[in-house]
Amino acid sequence: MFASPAWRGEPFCDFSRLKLRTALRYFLLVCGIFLAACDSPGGVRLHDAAHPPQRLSDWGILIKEPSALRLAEASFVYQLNTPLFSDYAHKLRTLWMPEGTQASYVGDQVFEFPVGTIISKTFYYPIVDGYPAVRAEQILDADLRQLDTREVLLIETRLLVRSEAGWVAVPYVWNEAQDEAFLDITGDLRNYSVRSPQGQMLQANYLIPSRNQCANCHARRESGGIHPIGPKAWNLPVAQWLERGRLRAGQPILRHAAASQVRRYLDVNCAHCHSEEGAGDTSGLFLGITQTQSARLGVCKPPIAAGQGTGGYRYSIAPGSPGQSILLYRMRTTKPAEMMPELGRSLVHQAGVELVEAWIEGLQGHCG
Amino acid sequence: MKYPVVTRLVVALGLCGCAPNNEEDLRYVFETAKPGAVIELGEGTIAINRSLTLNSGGVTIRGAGMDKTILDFSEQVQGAEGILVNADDFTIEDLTIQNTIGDALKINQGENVVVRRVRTQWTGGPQTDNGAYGIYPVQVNGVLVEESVAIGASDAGIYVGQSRNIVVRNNEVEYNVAGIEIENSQDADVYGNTARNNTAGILIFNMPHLPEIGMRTRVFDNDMLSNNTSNFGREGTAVASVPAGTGLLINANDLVEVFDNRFGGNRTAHVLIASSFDPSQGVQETFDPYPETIYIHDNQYEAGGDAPDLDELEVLRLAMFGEDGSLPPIVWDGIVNVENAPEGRLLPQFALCLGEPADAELINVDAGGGYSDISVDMSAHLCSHPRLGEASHSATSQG
Repeated sequence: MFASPAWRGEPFCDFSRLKLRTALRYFLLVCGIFLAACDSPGGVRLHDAAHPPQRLSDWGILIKEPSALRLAEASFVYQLNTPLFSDYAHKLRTLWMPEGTQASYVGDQVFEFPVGTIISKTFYYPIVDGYPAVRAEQILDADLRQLDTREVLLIETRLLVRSEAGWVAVPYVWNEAQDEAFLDITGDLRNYSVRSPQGQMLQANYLIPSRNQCANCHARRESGGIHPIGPKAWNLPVAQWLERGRLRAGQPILRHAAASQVRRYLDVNCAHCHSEEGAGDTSGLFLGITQTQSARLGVCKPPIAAGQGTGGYRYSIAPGSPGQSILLYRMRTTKPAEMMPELGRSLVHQAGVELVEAWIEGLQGHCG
Repeated sequence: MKYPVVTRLVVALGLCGCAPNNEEDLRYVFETAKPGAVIELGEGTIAINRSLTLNSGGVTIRGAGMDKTILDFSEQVQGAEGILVNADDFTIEDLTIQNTIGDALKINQGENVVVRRVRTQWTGGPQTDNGAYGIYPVQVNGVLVEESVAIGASDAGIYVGQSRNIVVRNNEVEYNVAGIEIENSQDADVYGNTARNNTAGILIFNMPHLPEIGMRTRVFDNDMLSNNTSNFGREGTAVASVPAGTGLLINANDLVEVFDNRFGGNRTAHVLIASSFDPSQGVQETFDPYPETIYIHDNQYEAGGDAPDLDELEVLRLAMFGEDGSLPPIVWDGIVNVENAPEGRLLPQFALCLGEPADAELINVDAGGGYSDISVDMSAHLCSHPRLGEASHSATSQG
């Protein structure tokens, strides 16, 4: 997949200090002879992502120790300015790239990452008084290398691996003992009682998506295949990426950095589908940060095939009338056939609802 | 329940010779299907509580018959569809998908899709809480839906949206709001179907704010009978405003040819032709809301139009045709694009033609003028248009 078919499906050795091609030769010479994976602390082992190992630890990206999650050397923990809401789960995002490589800008799009890149996203809840709990959105310092796993419930770790043919999604689910995550391509539903900061118990019907469901959000039509969603310039602390040498210096496209909070929120939470390249283009509703036409944003736009999701209302957005706007209705409902996004949420994101509500309230105009 | 890796491999490879007979195995097969795979399902009911998603091309899903292989979603708790497909060259046949919380079978983007002898149904009768669509290909080039059954959808039983090269034939649709709907699609043949007891039998529709404008649809040799079920669509959807008792509705679509059909017992109108239904809805400036170049000929009309489900039409029926009278089989809202009707009458190439001679009467209800200038004058409609060509269900055909 990455280069020579000679090592397809085989585990790979300490990769973190070597360039890709050099590493391949190293593997063939050393590991190939001893027929075992080299296991160096902090080392990343590459695998053919089409035939991934059963255990997450076999990648060397994240290793569970008794009270900590150890990250591969040279891992970069990053955060997004505006994250996707996933039932209040927290996310630990790591980026690993072969030594000497960098990501690069592609206009408004997600960065282009070099072959060999592994992005990991671990979903977890902090444990407070025995319950998974909702806490402030950012409890992790971006510099944090370790997570005290005695105080968290690890749910799933999704890897996005950049092969020569494109990105491959490899989903792992943490076991009950919380000491290993196993490959699980069919996903699962978990019931969690999640405690809000106000002490309210929320019942999450948490979806661990199947591998095909990953593609529902991560697929782009024209270019085919799947892609990361989050790491685009306007949604990242770019200065930090540059400082750490993760991003090729150049002219960042940052004109959206000034976009309003609500437009960022809609982009991150909706535009992976509601874009020209996404599955939600069937609705004629386009919620990306670059969208400027009010009708395409949903203002006074009748629904196309919303079914139950209309909530009985006639327009995606009725200016000044959030209570009569389909878009807000679909954020407020938790009925699976009505809610948006369709996947990955079973709770209402109160802060998101309030943001969109205030925005629609302030829009001028009248439909019909 | 999770199964050991070995079991999963056996199932995936079909080594045990047994078809998946539970949700977990079936999901595993969907997730791992290789291009060209045939997924055979045996007799029996499989209860499923999460959406099944298929992304591999060339896959065939084949049951043992729509009465024998039932995918039952009555306990579904996740997913906006029962089965969601995003793949080319997909075939599904000989099974039933029932009681999904959202759409039953949605095929979103692809080429050359075949749905054959598939039944989608909600078994609790027509209810607003039923899922919206039964069989739902959208943005597909090359669609064949045949010998299938759709019952109880709260929007459309068979809904083909934003697609091209479409054949919908020999299906039975009943107790849906819309039996069959072709929306913003081009080059469709709809024939040999029976649409009975829906709110409206067959709809040829265009909606604004979409890149594809629907046109070139032939509707022939269908039975549209007693489509009088009270509208149970969710308010806000386009079909929720369609009057019950409609056999065929042509809305804002161009180049539609309707022939050799049998209409009976549709109590509002056998054929209703309208511009965008609710003029107060937001309509984009570039959208053409007028149905033009419509040709309706050689159909058979039984009784109907005797109890319209629209106040204006009922008042009109009583005033013009009396207590026991009926509206003519074809009801037209009379709203035209004035640019194409320089003297109040559509230019010949845009006309609503009923043949020479016509085999059915038409009433122009002047919905745009407040139902004031009602006309049964047929002179503008005694005309014909060039016949439309046969549609193909292959993505490679030229529309």
